[in-house]
Amino acid sequence: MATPAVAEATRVCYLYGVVLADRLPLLEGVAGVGDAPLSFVDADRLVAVVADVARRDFVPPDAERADTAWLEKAVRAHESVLERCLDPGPVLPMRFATTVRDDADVRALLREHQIEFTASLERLLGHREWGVKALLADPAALAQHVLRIRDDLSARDRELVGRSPGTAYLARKRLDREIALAGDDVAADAVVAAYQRLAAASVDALLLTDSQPRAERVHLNAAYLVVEADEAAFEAVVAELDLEHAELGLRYELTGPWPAYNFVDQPERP
Amino acid sequence: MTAFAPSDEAQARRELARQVTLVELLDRILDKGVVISGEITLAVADIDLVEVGLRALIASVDRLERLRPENADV
Repeated sequence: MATPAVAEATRVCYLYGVVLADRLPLLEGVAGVGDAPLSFVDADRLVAVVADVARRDFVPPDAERADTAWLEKAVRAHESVLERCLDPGPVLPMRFATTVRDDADVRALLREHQIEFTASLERLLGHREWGVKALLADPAALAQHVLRIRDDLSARDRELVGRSPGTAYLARKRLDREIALAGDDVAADAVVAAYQRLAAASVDALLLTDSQPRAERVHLNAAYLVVEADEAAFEAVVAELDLEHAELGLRYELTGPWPAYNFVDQPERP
Repeated sequence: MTAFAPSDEAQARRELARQVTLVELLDRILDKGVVISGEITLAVADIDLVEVGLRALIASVDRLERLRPENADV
């Protein structure tokens, strides 16, 4: 339960993330959530990047009328502040819309979690997170590949070509379904191999199960923690995979560097 | 004065490119990041309401994705 003082507060402190005191980012020229100016709150070796924001901004009137335009801008602002933090070194990204009462509470939080936050940041030093997705860009190419490697399916395919559309209709539908299923297996095997090759070029890897819907089917969604000095080599592996798996209709997409969203430890629940 | 009004198609394409990066962003941001709990953080209800809004945002991205011609069911 919130104390009455909190419930009535009109301004709150938005907490973006935590960095090491000797890796301070430049905050000039980056717009935060709600365009609120950014500042630092420090406690020993840790520094929090914060902003004073209007509390009502974080309470949409109701679900039906949620202001998605405001929220999109806020999500992008949240990310751009964290990316700025990433320039000089690692950042512990806080969950979007983490708000506390004031700077004093931020300082108390940093002190409370000093040991684990410092350990997490030191572990991340010299590393950055990258995202890799494999998307089915060309389903027809995958179907063609299946016909090349599966003699049984290609024989049926040839046999159907000569038949009249009316009689062949159901057989064609059944065959297409089987080709699609075989294609799923081929793509699954390919991306498992890809995941492992990329894992070998990184220090930590995580298979992400959920993905927001994309126009193209997502066959692989993974996050990798890569040593900064090895980033060119990692990128080269992605380019190789993209080339090698083009005949399967797969396209590889590299994103990053990201704040290490997928490689930060959650603090112990009190 | 504008010389050309951007065609609906070009505008839709630009909008889609923008949305795809938003998809990547939502993939990273949702349910990720350090969660601090305890008395210090504000009432949890505030955060839940933001998440309601986030779900609405995802739904709008999802609807836009389905407008792409290659996704249209024929």
